[in-house]
Amino acid sequence: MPPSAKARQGPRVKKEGKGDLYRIGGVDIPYDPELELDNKPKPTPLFPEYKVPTARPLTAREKDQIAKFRSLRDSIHNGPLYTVLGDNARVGKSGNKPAASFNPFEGMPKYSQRYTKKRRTIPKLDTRPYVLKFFPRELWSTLDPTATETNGVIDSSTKGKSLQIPGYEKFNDIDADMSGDEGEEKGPKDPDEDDPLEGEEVDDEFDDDDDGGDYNAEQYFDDGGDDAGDDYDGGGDDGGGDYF
Amino acid sequence: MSTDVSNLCVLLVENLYGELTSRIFRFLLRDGRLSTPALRYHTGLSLRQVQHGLSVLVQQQLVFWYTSAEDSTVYEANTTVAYNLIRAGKYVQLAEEQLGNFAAVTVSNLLLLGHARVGDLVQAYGLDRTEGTNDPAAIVTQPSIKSIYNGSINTDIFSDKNRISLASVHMTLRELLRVGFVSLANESYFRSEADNRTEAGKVVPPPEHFRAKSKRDNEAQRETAIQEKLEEWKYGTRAEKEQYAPIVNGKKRQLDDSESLQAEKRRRLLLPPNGHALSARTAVNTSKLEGTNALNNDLVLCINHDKFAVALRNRGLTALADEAICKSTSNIYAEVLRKLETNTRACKESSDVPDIGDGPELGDLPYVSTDELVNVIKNSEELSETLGKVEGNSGNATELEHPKKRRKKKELESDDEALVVGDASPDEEEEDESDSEDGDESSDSEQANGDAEYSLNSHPKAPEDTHRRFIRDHLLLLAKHPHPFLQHMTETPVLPERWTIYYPPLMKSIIHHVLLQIITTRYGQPAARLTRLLSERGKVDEKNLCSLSLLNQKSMRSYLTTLHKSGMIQLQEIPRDNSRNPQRTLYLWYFDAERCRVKILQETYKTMVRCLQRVRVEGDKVKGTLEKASRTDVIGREEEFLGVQEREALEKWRQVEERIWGELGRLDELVGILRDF
Repeated sequence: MPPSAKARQGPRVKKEGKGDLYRIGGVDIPYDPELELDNKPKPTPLFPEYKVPTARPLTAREKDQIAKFRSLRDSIHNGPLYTVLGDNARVGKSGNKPAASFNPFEGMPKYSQRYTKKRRTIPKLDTRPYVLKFFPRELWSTLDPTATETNGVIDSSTKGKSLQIPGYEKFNDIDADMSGDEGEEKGPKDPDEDDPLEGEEVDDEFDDDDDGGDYNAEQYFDDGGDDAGDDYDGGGDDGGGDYF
Repeated sequence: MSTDVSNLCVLLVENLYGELTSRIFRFLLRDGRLSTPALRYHTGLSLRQVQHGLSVLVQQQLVFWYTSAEDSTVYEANTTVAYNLIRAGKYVQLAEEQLGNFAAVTVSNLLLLGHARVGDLVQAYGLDRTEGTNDPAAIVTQPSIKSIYNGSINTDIFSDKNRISLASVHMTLRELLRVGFVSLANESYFRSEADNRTEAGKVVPPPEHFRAKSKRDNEAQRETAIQEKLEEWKYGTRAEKEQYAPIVNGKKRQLDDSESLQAEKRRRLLLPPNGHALSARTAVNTSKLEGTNALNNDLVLCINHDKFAVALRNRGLTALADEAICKSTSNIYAEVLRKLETNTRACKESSDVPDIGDGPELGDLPYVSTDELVNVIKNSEELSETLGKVEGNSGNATELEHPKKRRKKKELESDDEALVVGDASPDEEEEDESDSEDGDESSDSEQANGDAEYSLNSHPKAPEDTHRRFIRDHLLLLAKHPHPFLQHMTETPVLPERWTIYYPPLMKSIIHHVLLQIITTRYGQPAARLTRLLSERGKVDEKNLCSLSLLNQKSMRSYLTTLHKSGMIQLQEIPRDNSRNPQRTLYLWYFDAERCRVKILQETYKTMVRCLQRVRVEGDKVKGTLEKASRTDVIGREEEFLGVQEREALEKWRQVEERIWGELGRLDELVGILRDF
């Protein structure tokens, strides 16, 4: 047994005379078995040094461009066409129930909610006149319930409305409020506005709270009104924006 | 339509018009044309929501609609307009640069409103058409602007215009119409191309109507009639087009000529159908506006994206000329482009014309004569300083060039003498010629270069002669640049010296340049060299490429593989025998610019999508603060209500957003070059 094993071990790897060719039993082997393996090449690093390319700083022109885009976008967002479906929107047949998607931390009605920007879930179309001939007939009643299917040119009933361009509202509107949301409240209330959290009801509740409020009874935020800001500036890193 | 583009469009719509609209838009993109019930089914929205959303989309021209004979209306997403939302800022800026503040405000309002009637627009500014111009009630004061934190920082567009009058509104609208930034809305704008064709097919009589010799001729005639109809819908009625034609063809056009034609057209636009006949001249020249001169209140205006694309292209070309040559040359180039802009309706317009050879048809393109430019450009001091002068007799550029190239050029020259094809040597000679001719006071004796062909250049030599020469030098510089910025048409007995731009080769060369630039930054200089070699030589074997590129085989292979892997270059295998043995196969590398262009374009779209998604993520990070800052009680009193950290967070968010949108703007420029221009 041992001699035979020895014999097998012996000529296993043989260096032939020519070049650096190694053979086992007459078959070429693709690597060098006598290679020094101590300083073997390292595998390529998983996260090699990478120089993150940085963009050139914006030129004045580009900044101007972006500013213009932003102002346009803001006026679109403040306008009647912008919609936010949000979490409460009923999408799909089954529709998730409001209670299921209710966020117990942020979702509680707060006093400051009274000032939050009200987002539409459906565009408000009755604020301006339309050129009906550019709309398909089936949308005419949506755009203007009084529209007659005559010729597509504005009929006299829509003449009362005028375009609203931010910055060029009529004087009284500007004086009343510049937010543009006021207009919505003044306007005719949409009958099937299906947003449970929004609307005046919430506000009314808060008004009641304000009058004989239980929070005030605790006298916790006793000087709530004017000094709220100072209070907040002082320490307020907790609780986000809810001060009463 | 790739996923990236549609994602991009959906994101843009959502960014600007909100979730309801973008939801509908997404399904329209995903599923193609849909009717209202189908949309309702797919989106899971209520009928009322769908209808309202569609109304917004139609108003903003974001969807096409078409009512077929069966009285069912189908809607289709309009990706062009949706994509162009990203350029809104650029549009406003362009309008401001070219036509002033109030034009910018008007453009931004039109973008806001979609399409709008002139009358309504005027009313919206608080002006009534019936009121007199000097009526104090017609002047609206500007409300002071609210807050920095709500994005209204940029109220500079409103700042000087505290008061506007009826006259100025009409003036601006007319100017916008003249320049072409705004066009008159037509029903065809609300239909997709295919539907427009169908409609045109209905309007145009059947082939039997055309009394041509054969059936085929009938069909051909009908086809042209349909094309005419489409054209008419797009750019106005036939009468208008007829008046436009001389300008577009540039045959007999003089400066005054074009002006009067423009005025003619404008007058027709502006006057109500029963308006008083007002002479064209006065329509142009009267800067103050009479009642008859106002725009008809029933005209419907919308943004003309094609024209804005032209303006953006011009801006890009000017920037490139600046980069490639110098500032003052680019200024002159900008002047040329501005002159030609009036006659260019859309960027890709000329590409529809089947391949204009660089023969005499070049004369059909709109052109600018040197004299026009000389009249427009005033200061020559700067121009003279920027161009170096060649001393003595060494100005002959042909001598300095490679002998092979010189030979080639001589052949070219003999091919067509009259026309210079953006090549160096003939222009160079000409430049010298003009130098020697005009610049007597510089006492360069360059008569040796005298050439009979160019001695035609014998315009009345007034004191402005040097001025003219400088301008000409710059123009020649542009014409002989590797990018064929300009085409030079020498003087003929009838026509003065003219300059024109033939866009297809110019854009091709610019696209090539941009592709190489991208390859250089991504894969390094040698990779770009290899690509350039491949595009010059066509299909090249690896061995040949190795010797040509002066790289060793190993490193060359690594570059080729990276390029191949990323789809910039392609590999073709040609087996030498039927066995398809790899050893008996030729491998040829080649660079397909078109494929590379599409590839990079898709990558750009993807990057833009990522940018928009990033904006959203960054916005979500500061969501609470943003909401607080947008509260009505906080607006205007940020100092009081927002904490230091909150203000910092907002400021940071604004900067981040600005940077991302800046990047988007740059990517959009790239898309413009690769796709639109």
